[in-house]
Amino acid sequence: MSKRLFGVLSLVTACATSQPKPSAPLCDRQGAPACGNIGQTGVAYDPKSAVVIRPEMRASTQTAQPAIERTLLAPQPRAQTLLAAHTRPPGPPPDAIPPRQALLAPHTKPLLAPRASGDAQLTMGRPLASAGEEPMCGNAMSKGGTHRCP
Amino acid sequence: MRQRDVQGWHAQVSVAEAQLELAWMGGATERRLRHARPDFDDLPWGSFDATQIDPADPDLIESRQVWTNGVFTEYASAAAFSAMNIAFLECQAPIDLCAAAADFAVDELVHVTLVSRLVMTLGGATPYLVDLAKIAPVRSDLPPRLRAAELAIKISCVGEALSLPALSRSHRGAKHPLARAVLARLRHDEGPHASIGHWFLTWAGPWLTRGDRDHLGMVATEAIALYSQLWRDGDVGYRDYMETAVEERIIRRLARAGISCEAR
Repeated sequence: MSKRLFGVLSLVTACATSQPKPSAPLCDRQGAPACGNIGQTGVAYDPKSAVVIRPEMRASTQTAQPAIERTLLAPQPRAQTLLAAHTRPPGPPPDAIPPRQALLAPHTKPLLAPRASGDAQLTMGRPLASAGEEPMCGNAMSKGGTHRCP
Repeated sequence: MRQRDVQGWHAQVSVAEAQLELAWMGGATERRLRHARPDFDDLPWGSFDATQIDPADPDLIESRQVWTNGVFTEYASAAAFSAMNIAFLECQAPIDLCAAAADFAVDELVHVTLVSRLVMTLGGATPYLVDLAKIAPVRSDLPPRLRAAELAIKISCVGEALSLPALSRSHRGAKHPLARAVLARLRHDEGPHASIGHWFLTWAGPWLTRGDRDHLGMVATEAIALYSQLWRDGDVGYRDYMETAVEERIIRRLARAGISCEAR
């Protein structure tokens, strides 16, 4: 049978061995996986790289799956995922950051905008948020809350 | 439409609150959304003419304020379901469950669109400051499955569970056909949005320890306390109505999942 039947192109013939080697996701510098199905076969797994096995991964291989779960993808011995620290790239210096403006690029039109005038006397609204400044979603039909809640 | 400095636009980083404003691109992206949600905005938009009402009318202003906040809560819900989808993927939740969370984010963006159009029909957004850089739920350091359960509790089991009675109450009280049509559309989607949290708990249940359930109960209790500010000091009838909703739609339903919480 030819693997071309399944649309698998022979990208690297040297990898065609009888024993497939473990692979790891292709990732960027920050460790984010390169998504998109463009034929990447991953990168060779390097056991000398830093590997973190998350506790719940270990536990889930030891406990039985609940009956409700049906297998969508046949389980293989779990390849250890290279886990790199996710670091935000350094941003521009503060004085180079322009003041935030409305998202009105030339190829867009306003979906929501304030009135041009006449609202100066209105109380400023803000979202209802937790002490950690996490906005509380869900439409409870109110005018919102204070920005920082006890 | 304001012209933007291209370099400034690409380097845009939200560092402070700003007036809530939203944009629409049209073209291919609009066609895609209309294909996914046919006729989503087929509502009686021409039935309301704000120019016939005094802009200083208190009822009109209050309507604009409530619906402007409504735009934000729908927007936050879109971000929340997006975060939930990622959390589900990170803990290897069933694929169809992940798909539902992603699809609900699209539902919420449709709601953002409808409510934004309603606000503009009423006369425009009222002054409303937000920092959209903080729109997504805060990412905790918990293990992936417990982190996903936290989001399921806060977003779905509590937040969306309260949306349905709030929207239903508003729908019963709304007199204008346009407002009723928008509310009916929002309400139509909230049932499944309030259920996905319980779907996740059904799948994750066998892995949750007693300590996990105690933690999730505390998360639910805190979320209830935060929302209760919206009715605690207001109309007695509405307060009783929402407190009943909390008991029936949140506390009892979570108890069936082995999670104890309370309304403080």
